[in-house]
Amino acid sequence: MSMSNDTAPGALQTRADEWVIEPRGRKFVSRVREVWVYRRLFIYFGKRAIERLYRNTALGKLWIFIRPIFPIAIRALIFGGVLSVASPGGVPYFLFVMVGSSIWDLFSSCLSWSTRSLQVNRGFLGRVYFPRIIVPVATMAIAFVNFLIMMGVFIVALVYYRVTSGQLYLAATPAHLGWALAALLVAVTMALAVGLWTSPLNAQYRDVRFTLQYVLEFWALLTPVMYPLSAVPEKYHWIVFINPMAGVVQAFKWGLLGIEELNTTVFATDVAITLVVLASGIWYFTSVEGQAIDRI
Amino acid sequence: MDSISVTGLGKCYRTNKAPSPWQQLMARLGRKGEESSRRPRELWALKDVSFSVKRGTILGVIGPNGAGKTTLLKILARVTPPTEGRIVGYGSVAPLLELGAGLQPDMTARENIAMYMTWHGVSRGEIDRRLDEVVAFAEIDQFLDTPLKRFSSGMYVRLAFSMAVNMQPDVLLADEILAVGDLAFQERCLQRVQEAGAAGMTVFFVSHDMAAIQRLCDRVILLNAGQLVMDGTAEDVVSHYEQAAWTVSSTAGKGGRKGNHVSEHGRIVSVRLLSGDGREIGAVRHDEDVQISATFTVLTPGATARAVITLNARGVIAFRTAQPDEVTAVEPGVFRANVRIPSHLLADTIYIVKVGILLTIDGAQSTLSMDNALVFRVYADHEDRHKSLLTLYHGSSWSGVVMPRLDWQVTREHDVVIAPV
Repeated sequence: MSMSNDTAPGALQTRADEWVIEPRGRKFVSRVREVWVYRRLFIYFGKRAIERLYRNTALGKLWIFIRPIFPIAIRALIFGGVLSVASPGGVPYFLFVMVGSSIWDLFSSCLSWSTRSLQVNRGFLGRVYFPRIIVPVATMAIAFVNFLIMMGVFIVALVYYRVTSGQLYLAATPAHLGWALAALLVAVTMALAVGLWTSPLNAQYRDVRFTLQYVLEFWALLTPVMYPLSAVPEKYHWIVFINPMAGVVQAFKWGLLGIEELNTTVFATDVAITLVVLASGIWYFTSVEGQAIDRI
Repeated sequence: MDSISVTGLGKCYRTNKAPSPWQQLMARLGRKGEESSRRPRELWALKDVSFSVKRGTILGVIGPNGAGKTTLLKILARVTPPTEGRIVGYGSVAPLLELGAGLQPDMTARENIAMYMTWHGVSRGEIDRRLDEVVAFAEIDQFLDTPLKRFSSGMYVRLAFSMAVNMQPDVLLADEILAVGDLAFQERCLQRVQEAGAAGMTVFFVSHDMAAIQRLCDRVILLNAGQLVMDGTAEDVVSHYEQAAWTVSSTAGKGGRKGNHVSEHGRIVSVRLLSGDGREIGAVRHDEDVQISATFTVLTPGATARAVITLNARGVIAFRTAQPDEVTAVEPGVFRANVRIPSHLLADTIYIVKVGILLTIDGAQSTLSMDNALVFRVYADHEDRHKSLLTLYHGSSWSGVVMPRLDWQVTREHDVVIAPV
């Protein structure tokens, strides 16, 4: 590539294409620049993750649609139908669970896929160099696709209720939608932040992946996803809000359906927690990525 | 001008698995005695290696197995970070490690080429033009839309090599590219590397093929046990290497070995290469006898054992051989199976030995196996009569997976009869 930019013998050896390999990784700024240079790989690894998931299946791409919809149908049936949990503000329970589940599933599948990402792509990591952080980030594409499909179903359901009951349940103001987007951003960042800790750990100890599965199931129950916050006595709300995902899910529900309360103090705390975890995650990931590759 | 300079490079692997946090916790909760025994053992794959390479040099890297050749290339490719030391280099680096450099078996050749070029920043219009060059050199035109998983290993390495060279990197890292692939392609590979070197590309050429090293390399470094032992002209270093009796032991439990060499009935302890008179060696001459010796334990009394070895070379099975009579372990014990391979049978190439121990316990079969149990090189120098005859006839120094000297009878049958037209 740079065959032509030969310098005369004896010229100073400070050429633009100089590189250095040292035990300690490079500085933060040059790493960020490097991620930018390799930005195409985000698309590549994202696509690859999705294609890989549905490879060798008879239904193929259909699974992309089936997978997110099934759990929702089951949850709506059990909680709304059998247990008849009441949803606040007169919103149909299906819409309520749809909204809560879509953001929670986005978070949990972002986290579980990024946790597995280094292990799944180990063939690549052992053979070619690129900034490793791209892998856990790009693998979250699977979760985004699921989320988009759930949003599609949500819109269809909104239209259905508009036609049958004449009521539009969507809180269609810019402020609401803005909060919904902010909640999504925090959920994804939080998943990434935790994923940066778990993916190198999982490369070494596969126990992480299994443990995480149970942690996420339990975490989902602690988060007001399938029940409204009002189902919890007021004096225990502070306990619910210790969980940073609770505020995020609440903000998303408020943003899309205008139901329940938007607690900005809680949300701001969640953002702060997320940023701290993210910073520690980046620090951890970059300091162990080399060893993690040796041990996969 | 220096293309790459390496100073004090070292790479340490932990051979024992580091204790898991759980084990650390248990150790701390009282059982202090176990803590020290669980401490990971360190293995320096490279230690204190320093050298620098000028632009356009084809640098041969040789050494016995486990010398650190591949580790050096992996560090240069940034696949694994060094533990100490520093490398300064210039320009783009194209690695060809473990035959493939990140090729995707599920994608077609065309998709792989496009992906590889995209990775390396080639523009879309440029890709189409270069695709033809890559395909022509790799000779895979009919298979362009075939997924790589259906490729032969030869086609695979041809494609990988062709792509890497086509990028015209400043530095090419070639690890055993000649181990697979047909002779004609190997020849073109060598020519291509030679041209690239002349055009200013720096090439790191790791090979066990001394003939290729001598033909190609301007300079050769010899590694042994992670250290740079010798640095000089191809002729000097190769002859030093060939004369030295390398004693490389290969003990079970080292990383990278596949197979199930341990079970409740026994384990394969070690597999070694011995000379005809029983010295442990790392390489052997074509005209000398060689023995492969597998040590294994049998734990179940009354089990019968039978050893089988498979020799692979150039990506195919060269031959397999099994111990004709089984032995019965009346008492548990350590056994040693030795097989002698006569001189003038093996070809001058690299062999990969797979060892299997078939155990029969009360009529039930159980297998211990160790893939890549041993890798060794057979060399035939220019004075080897058999080899030079073959070279004379075939016009190439490449041989097959075996090069047996057989019993030939040539007699005069009768006078020439000129048949009427």
